[in-house]
Amino acid sequence: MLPYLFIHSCENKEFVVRIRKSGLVAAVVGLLAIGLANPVHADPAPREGSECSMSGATRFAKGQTFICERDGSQLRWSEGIRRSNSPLEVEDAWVKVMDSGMTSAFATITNPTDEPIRIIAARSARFTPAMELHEVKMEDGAMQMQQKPGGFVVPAGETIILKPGGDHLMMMKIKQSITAGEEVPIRLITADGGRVKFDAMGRVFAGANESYDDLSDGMDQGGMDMDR
Amino acid sequence: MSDPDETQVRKVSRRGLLTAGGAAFAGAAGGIVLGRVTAPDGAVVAVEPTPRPQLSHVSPAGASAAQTIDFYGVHQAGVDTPEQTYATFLGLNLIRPSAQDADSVLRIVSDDAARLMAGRPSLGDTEPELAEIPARLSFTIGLGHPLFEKTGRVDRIPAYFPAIPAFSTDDLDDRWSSTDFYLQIASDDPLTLAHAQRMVVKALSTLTTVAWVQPGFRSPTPANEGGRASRNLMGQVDGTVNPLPGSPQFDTAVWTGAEPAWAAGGTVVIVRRIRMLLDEWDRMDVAAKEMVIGRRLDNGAPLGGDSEEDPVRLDVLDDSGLPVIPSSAHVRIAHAESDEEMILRRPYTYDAGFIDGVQDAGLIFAAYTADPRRSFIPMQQRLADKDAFNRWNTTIGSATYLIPPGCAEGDYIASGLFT
Repeated sequence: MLPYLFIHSCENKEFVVRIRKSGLVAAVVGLLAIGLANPVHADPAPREGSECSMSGATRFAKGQTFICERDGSQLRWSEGIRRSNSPLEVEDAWVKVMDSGMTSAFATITNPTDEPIRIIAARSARFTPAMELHEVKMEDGAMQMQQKPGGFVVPAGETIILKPGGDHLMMMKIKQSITAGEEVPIRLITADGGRVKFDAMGRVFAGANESYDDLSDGMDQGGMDMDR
Repeated sequence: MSDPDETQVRKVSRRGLLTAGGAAFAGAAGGIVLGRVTAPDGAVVAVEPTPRPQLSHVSPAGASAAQTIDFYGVHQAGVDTPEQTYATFLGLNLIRPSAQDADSVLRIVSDDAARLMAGRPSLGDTEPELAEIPARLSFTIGLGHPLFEKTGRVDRIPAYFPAIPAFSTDDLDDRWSSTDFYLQIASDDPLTLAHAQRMVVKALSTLTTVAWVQPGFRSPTPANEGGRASRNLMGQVDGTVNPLPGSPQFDTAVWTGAEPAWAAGGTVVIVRRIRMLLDEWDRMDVAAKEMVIGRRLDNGAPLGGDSEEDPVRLDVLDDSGLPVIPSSAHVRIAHAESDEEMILRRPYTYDAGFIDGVQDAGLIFAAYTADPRRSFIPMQQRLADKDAFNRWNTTIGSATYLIPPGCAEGDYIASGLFT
């Protein structure tokens, strides 16, 4: 188990990002561990139930998609899902520019079919070893960013919007910088193996700060009292 | 909406509200103004109309609030577009001399422009509500000589895009000179414009810096409604002799030809910042002012004519045998002899406060032409040599840009030039 994984493991309450409504003070824990994350080792060919090393990683093998999922304290490959083209329609996709570390991607996703579609994973192999589907939730007056249980469900005939402060795609430990105007190819994977590919444009954005560093910086300088 | 029985509180969609807001403006003469509030749950709610005193001036921004201009097309917007009331001109420079960065700038601006012009927020728009009233928002994107030089693309510069020389009457300040990129952002709503400008400058902040900004304004007299050309701060009707958008004359005068193919259907803009010496001008009487320009101040008619639209007759003599339009009059010297010599004048007034107690105001003179070698440059040379009007204005800034053609949906301006 890599220490890095704990940071985004939101079942692990100790590491949950908290933004207190009152004073914009974040309870930041275990900061130093982030920068010292171990390198991710190449996994052997995925098999259902075998161990994997990074939550949110995806692998394609033998016409099937495997997703690295949390199983108790272990990370294991999901069952293989047969690939198909997803009917989901994606537009207005963008990703926050970032030099290194993690960043978020956003999009508007429409389900034109009569059945709900569940998005369970996302992939951008050139830019990140793993992506997670995150939500931002208010709990006990605190805002928490965490992996969304079950992923994103797009109801039949409806549109969901991934946006800062709401559901979003978290790109872990990016392999290269993402610059303004850059086209970042992303693939969504649905529960039935459907895949939809789109390009997200690199955009300068001051918000959507999810790393602890960014948050604590913001809190230190945070001049605005939101209670007023 | 005018039916008082339908005035109870009801929820409306944002889109519906926009339409309703536009209709409220149009209906303002009827003395009814629709209010709106945001309910605690965030929903926008229309409230009972409140009778208001009849408005004597209905802002064209109100009339055009929901009007959009297409970003995509054969030509870029903002050239043959009837002049919006407000325009801001920006000169931007690349932070790094990188062709890839130049390409990114064009992608980003094109994407932002397409969305914002359609009345939709830009990607990651921090104030999406400010995108809801496009009011004929347009973006026009230009490329300056420095950009071609620093990206190693001097060989791509068309012959019709030469450097514009300084003229003897100019007193140019480098702070207004040519930059890598040019943006003309225009709208009938100044807040919409300011938002659009902020979004795009912010989106480009890792790629470019802003070298200069020139905000301008003009009278809200839509040229497309048959009104006369706008007046400038000297009271002159300015921009009468313009080619008519859509006419063969306009195509010849403004849009660039077939070669090189990548720039065909574009244009060249010369942006001159012309300071008016208003206090000196004040010393002149009306008749003298009219002689300097060659047009009447009251209705813009050429001297010897009756109305603004009358042709400028340079050969008419008065009783004493002297030309009615004096030999040194501005209109005589600026007069184009052919369609090729014409320029499209799209001037805006600037008013930048005071320098040592003297007002710093004048014109942001944006001239669009297919080939300045046959139009703007000879005309400006004649003006520098002979124009009586030179005494009352000084050009303090000059920049020139190639405006590439428009693009199809899904594409971006000047795609391929830097890749």
